[in-house]
Amino acid sequence: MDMVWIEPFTKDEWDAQVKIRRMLDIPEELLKLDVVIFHCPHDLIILERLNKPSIFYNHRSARPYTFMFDEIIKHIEPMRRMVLIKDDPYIIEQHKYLYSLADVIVSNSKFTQRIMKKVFGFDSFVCYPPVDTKKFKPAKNPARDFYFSVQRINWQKRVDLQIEIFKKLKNEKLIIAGGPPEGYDYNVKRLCEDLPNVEYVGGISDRKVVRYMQNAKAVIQTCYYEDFGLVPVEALACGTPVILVDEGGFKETIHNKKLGIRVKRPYVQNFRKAIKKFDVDKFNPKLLRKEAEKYSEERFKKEMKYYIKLAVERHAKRLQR
Amino acid sequence: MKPKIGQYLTTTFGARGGGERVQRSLFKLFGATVYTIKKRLKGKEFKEIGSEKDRKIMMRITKT
Repeated sequence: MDMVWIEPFTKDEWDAQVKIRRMLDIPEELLKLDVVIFHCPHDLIILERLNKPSIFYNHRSARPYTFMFDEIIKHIEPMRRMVLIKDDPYIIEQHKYLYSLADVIVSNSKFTQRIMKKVFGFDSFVCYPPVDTKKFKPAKNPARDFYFSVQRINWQKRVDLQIEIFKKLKNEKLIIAGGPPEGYDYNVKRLCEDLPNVEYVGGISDRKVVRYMQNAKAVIQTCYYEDFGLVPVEALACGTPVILVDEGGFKETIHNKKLGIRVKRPYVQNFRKAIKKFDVDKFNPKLLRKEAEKYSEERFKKEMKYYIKLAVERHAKRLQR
Repeated sequence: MKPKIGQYLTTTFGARGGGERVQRSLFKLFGATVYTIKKRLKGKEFKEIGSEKDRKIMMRITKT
């Protein structure tokens, strides 16, 4: 299995990440570009030497260092846990420096936009990730006889919570997809073994994901403060409602009761109540689909075009200074 | 004239889920290749660049 350094970083680990990137040569391929888009804050360090208009697409802001810190360190080995600091001022300052190198910052949701502003003081634009509405589309006669969840299998997605919820809902079937398991402290397959109504199908193709989504009663999502959350929007595109935790980016996409149910804490009890009362016929697949179309690739292209133009303009102004 | 757009991600080892899909979409919609020193993800969207020396440097922070 691939192993990567896991955030949050200590001061030394952070410095190593930056130092190593400073040692890299400037790739010729980048010199030929008019605009460069970045996804990882550390990579912005190349802009010290690369004079190009740039966009930083902010996927998640700094949750490992801030509001998710207490939860994340529970999953880190005890020795490393001891040297990590919540809201580490050094790390925050380093982030600020890196973000200052970008011409335009685009956040993937209002949720990440707020964190970017609150923690680092940077304004950013919101451009929601696109959903392939041609691939994710409704089925003609959906079966609607099971619940479905798909996500990477790691602790942040709280798949164990889904299993716990369905443990006592013997008449409802849940199919869980996603993989490969990474950094998880329990075995999803083993947890499902004794439960006839819960099935873990592992990592599956996009085609199968679409088929499951089209035929599910509802798609279940339990991610810990998801930054945006593409899965619920993909479900809507398939004409399938969603039942999910009332946290993070989900609040923006599933903004009313016509699209699904946002469940408040305590989750186990409230999810069970919501599923027992759930009636898929109360949801209009055409309305769900219409909502998902707001996140189309065409919309993403149009918005990103604007930010690309803005990056060029801002970079030119920066050079004049 | 259409600007030439690209993406830079020193390593795709950390790219997962939504991030990966945004990168693929940017390639699909703008032809924005993801230039990377150390590649994990498959597909024409991701192009490994840089020297062997660079790859060795990146291995210090990305283990396989």
